Amino acid sequence: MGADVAVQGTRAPDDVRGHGSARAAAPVGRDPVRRWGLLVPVVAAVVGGAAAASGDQSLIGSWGLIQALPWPYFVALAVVGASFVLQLYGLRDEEPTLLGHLTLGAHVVCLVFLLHGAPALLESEPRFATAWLHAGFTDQILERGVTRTEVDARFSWPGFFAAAAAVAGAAGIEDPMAFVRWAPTVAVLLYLPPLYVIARHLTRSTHAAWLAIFLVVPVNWVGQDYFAPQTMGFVLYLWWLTLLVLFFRQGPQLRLPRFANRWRRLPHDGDPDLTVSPKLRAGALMVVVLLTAAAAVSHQLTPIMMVFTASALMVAGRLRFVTFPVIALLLTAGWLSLGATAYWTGHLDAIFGNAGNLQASLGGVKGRVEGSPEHLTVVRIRLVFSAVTWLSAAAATWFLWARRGRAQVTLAVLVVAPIAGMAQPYGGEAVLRVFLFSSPFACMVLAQTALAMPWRRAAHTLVAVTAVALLPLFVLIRYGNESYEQVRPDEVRAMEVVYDIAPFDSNLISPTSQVPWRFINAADYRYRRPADALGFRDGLPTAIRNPVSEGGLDAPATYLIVTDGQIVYATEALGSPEGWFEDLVKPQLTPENGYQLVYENDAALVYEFTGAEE
Amino acid sequence: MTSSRRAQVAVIAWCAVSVALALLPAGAGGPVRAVDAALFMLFGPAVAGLVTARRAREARPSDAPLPPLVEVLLWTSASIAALAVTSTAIVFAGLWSTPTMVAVVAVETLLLASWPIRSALGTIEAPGAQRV
Repeated sequence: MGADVAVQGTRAPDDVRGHGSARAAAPVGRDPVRRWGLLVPVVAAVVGGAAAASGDQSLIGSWGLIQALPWPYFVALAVVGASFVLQLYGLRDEEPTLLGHLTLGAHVVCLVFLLHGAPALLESEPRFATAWLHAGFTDQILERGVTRTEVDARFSWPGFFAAAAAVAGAAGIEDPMAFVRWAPTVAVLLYLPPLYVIARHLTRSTHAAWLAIFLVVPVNWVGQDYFAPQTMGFVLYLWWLTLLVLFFRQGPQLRLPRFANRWRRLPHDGDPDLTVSPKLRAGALMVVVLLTAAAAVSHQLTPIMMVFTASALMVAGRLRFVTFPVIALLLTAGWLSLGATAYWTGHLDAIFGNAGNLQASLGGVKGRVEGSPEHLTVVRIRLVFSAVTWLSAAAATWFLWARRGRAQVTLAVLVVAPIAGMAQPYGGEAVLRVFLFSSPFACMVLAQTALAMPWRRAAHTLVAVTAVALLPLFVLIRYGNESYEQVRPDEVRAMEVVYDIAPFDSNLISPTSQVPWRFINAADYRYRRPADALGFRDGLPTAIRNPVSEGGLDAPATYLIVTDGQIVYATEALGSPEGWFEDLVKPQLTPENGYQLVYENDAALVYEFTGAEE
Repeated sequence: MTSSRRAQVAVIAWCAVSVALALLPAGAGGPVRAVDAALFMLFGPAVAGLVTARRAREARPSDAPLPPLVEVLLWTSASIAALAVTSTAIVFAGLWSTPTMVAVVAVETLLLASWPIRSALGTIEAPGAQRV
């Protein structure tokens, strides 16, 4: 990341270049902190990685992964955090040399490895049932070359699955599950270069850019970085945004009524657009359109975020490419009309029914705030953390404008524009997406402010304490659901048995969604919840005697799969009472009610359902 | 032969080797094949584009260059976006298979890597000569 993104001849204001110390930095050769700085993240990665790998998965409880990670892991995190801050302050007003960039970059990579790779190191199976499902969708294309849009809506946006299948096929990988374990680490590493470029361009400070991307790693707790189309969508969004910010901010803007133009006359923020030939600018424009098209065929929500962001930048006078929102809208609508007809036929209500319904999104958040006391505490910490991030960013924006005379219009727009995403019909998850798309830019404002604050010694201490304290906090809020998001080896073994014994087109029923299935045969069975899922979990006899909903009555066989992950999920997150399965449901899974136990191990039970006796 | 020309030849050779490895039976080739395939399928056209851009700069040194990191991001994003778009189109056309996808990426890579050989060979090979 040694590139200097600034246009030659432009200079950042004094208080944003570095952190304003009057003393010159010591030469690298005489300063042991800087001389040996590259070794610290390497040693921390080895020590922290080994500690995480030695953790005991069975210790994961209601507080999540944090209970299973040994103390040397947290020491390694603290050392990386403290060392990064020392390295950054050690630069004083100097631009980093190549070694300086390498050292700061190594710290950030080490942090990503330790924070986002911890479950991969500790747990015996890749985490998160939905990632297993996506591996199955990839396998469907890899093995058969076709999607099954009538089976699952996500097949209507196959860009991610088809691209992953292409890589797997060329690599000779027969099982796309090989991608799942390290996907979050790779995804976060892909987020960071575009974020660095945007931060460097908009803050005009290499120091602020490095601090911003260091902060992004622990602040991004929402977990939208697993093996999934939305992960690729976010990467595409960041690349797309980088090109808009670097090439298309200055120039003739959309004309607005006079009253709306007044606040657009604020001085231009960040570096000027890159000075390039018209041919190169046209090439960048083509790539912007290509990225939009890739997002449109890969994920249903990302292109809508692109439309919101581009529109907001245009209204704020920070996007001269005024036809872009229209192009993005046309590509999105075009794909919905041509490629995703199987989805929207019969689902118009799902698409537009909640559009603009903020209450549905906020209600979805409320729905997430239920479950065991420990889970509720973790969820509340997440909400408070998100609110504090946004409020701090708002205060920082005001500080930069009122006290430093720099209106960070572009960054403010990038923080605020994703809020429009709450109007999308996606329930509580839309709010998570809003934080995902907004928080990196909040980090940029905060980083710039941290380096421009008066009372430098106090500011430095505050930054150091925050950087170190954020790291264990991230482990708590990011992996607070690990008691049910982890996958146990016995759960996988049970599913392999089901696939061995169940004929194709059978009903496979699980009481909740937290089951690692569909990693093969993603479209060959009827994967379902019980017809009355809530009644089933509550032990209602009619719900247990009639688990098959109407569309599954003609299936050749029916199997019920109950795993530890599902039982814990219902207790921790759905509000079911402790022991709901053992006390309320299991005693009723009898031959009289139509259930025959066909397989059991320490973490799973498989029943064949043949119909209750009259 | 200039260094940029050598780089182009290297990319074309890498493309040929990657295609040969990718067409081995599934499970053959081990980690070397897996790493090479991931790099080639995701970044093959990007590498070819970067080499092309370097060669084009040598032909027209008056053009302002992009910062290196921005140039890498530009080509990388284009490469991966193209993979997503083309693989989707091929799935919906009912033609998806591993050899088809490898062929598409190989054609993209070769077209990008060989473009300046066709358009600016004279300028590169013989400074001061008439542009072909």
